[in-house]
Amino acid sequence: MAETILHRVARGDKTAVQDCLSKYGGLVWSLARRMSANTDDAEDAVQEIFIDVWKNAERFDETQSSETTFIAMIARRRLIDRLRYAKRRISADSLEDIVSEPSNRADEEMQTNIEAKDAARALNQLRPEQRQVLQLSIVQGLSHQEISDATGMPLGTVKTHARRGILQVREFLGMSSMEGMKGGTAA
Amino acid sequence: MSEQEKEKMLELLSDEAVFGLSDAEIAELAELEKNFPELNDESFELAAASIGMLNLDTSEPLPAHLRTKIASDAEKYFASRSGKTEVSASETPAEKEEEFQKTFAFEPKRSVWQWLGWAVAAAACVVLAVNIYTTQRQLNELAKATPTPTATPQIKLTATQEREQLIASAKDVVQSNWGDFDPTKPKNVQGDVVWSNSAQKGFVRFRNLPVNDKTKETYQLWIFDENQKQPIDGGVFDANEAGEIIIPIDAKLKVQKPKMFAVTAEKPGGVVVSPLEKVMAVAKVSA
Repeated sequence: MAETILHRVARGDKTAVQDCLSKYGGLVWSLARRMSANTDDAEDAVQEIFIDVWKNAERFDETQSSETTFIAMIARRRLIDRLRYAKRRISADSLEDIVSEPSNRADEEMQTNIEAKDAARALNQLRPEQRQVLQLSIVQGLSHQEISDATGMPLGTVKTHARRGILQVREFLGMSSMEGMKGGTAA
Repeated sequence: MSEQEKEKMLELLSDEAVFGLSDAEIAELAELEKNFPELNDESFELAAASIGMLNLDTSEPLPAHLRTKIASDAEKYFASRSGKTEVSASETPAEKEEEFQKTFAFEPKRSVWQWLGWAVAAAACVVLAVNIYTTQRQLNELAKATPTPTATPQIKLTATQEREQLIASAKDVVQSNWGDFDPTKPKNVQGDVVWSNSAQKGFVRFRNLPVNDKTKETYQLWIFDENQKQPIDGGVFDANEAGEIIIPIDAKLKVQKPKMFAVTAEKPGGVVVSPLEKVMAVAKVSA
């Protein structure tokens, strides 16, 4: 099997950096644009994310996830961290997405990469409310309070749907290696 | 180590992946991780990352200047890492991180080259100031000897007249009526928006938009563009009177394909990013 880009990065192969930017630059840039207040913030975030990628490259385990998902996870972690300070809790296009019923936007055919197709399939296994909460939170960037306000669900119910939903997605995607949550907060 | 603690940790891990945690929750999770290190395997975050790629348009490449910057940062990073490895291969991860922060510092904006750039810019400013001063003196002397021309009187159009002129002259004007964002909480704002891409000009017209208390809030217009991930700030304004008002749109970026306009109530002065807590009206542009 060919060596992964991240493993090449980890052992200091300089060409791997360019390969990584070519293959995943668009992904990271799109995630940063979606979760940042403006282009300047997105550019700063992308620089930080790639430093995180270089630092974490050696931790990549191809039996756990694809390279794409691993890099998306690192990006998301950094972006959430930045959001905590910026206190920006909503994505730019969420208003329109709310207007156009976000629960209908997990069509598998619409997804551009295999990981997103898998995620769409996983989401479609969930109850509609769980799917809606996960989309509003993860894709649109709304906080639990904002989801509660937008949907009229009690705050505890929003959290429960999110927890149970992510647990099921994790299992569906074969990422589950631990004991699941039992019970959880009552809806 | 109770089941309750274990359950709490799993809840925090899922909350972390979906919403992010507060400082207090981060501290709580760190404590629980000491008891259940085997539970923290990133699987929740990986699942959330997969969902985070839904509906993501990755066709736009990383901007070239940013790519160059990242590649340059990477070189510095790997240089600092390999240099450090030769000196000491036995340091802890924390020491490595500290050393990385020292050497790489993630403050490219304050590099020596940029300080040098500032110094050159400052020197250029001094030269420019001297040049402006001497030129101004020469112009003043010339002005004294030249008769002053009479200014041509200009007719200032009202916003209503300008709006009508735009509709009559621009061939690509789009027009859309305001409607409620949430039909279950109708605000009944009426009126319309007109916009011309070629002129990069437009107007919003309102009836029934409540007069706002300027000390507490202002209205802000947002333009949702198909080619922009973020909505474009269309300017802030106040509703000073109860009747019809017409406001020129003040787009802060070039608008290419507007698909929706929205008006929100924000704190005085407006905001860079709206929390979208109080959406007064939306106007969708027909395809």
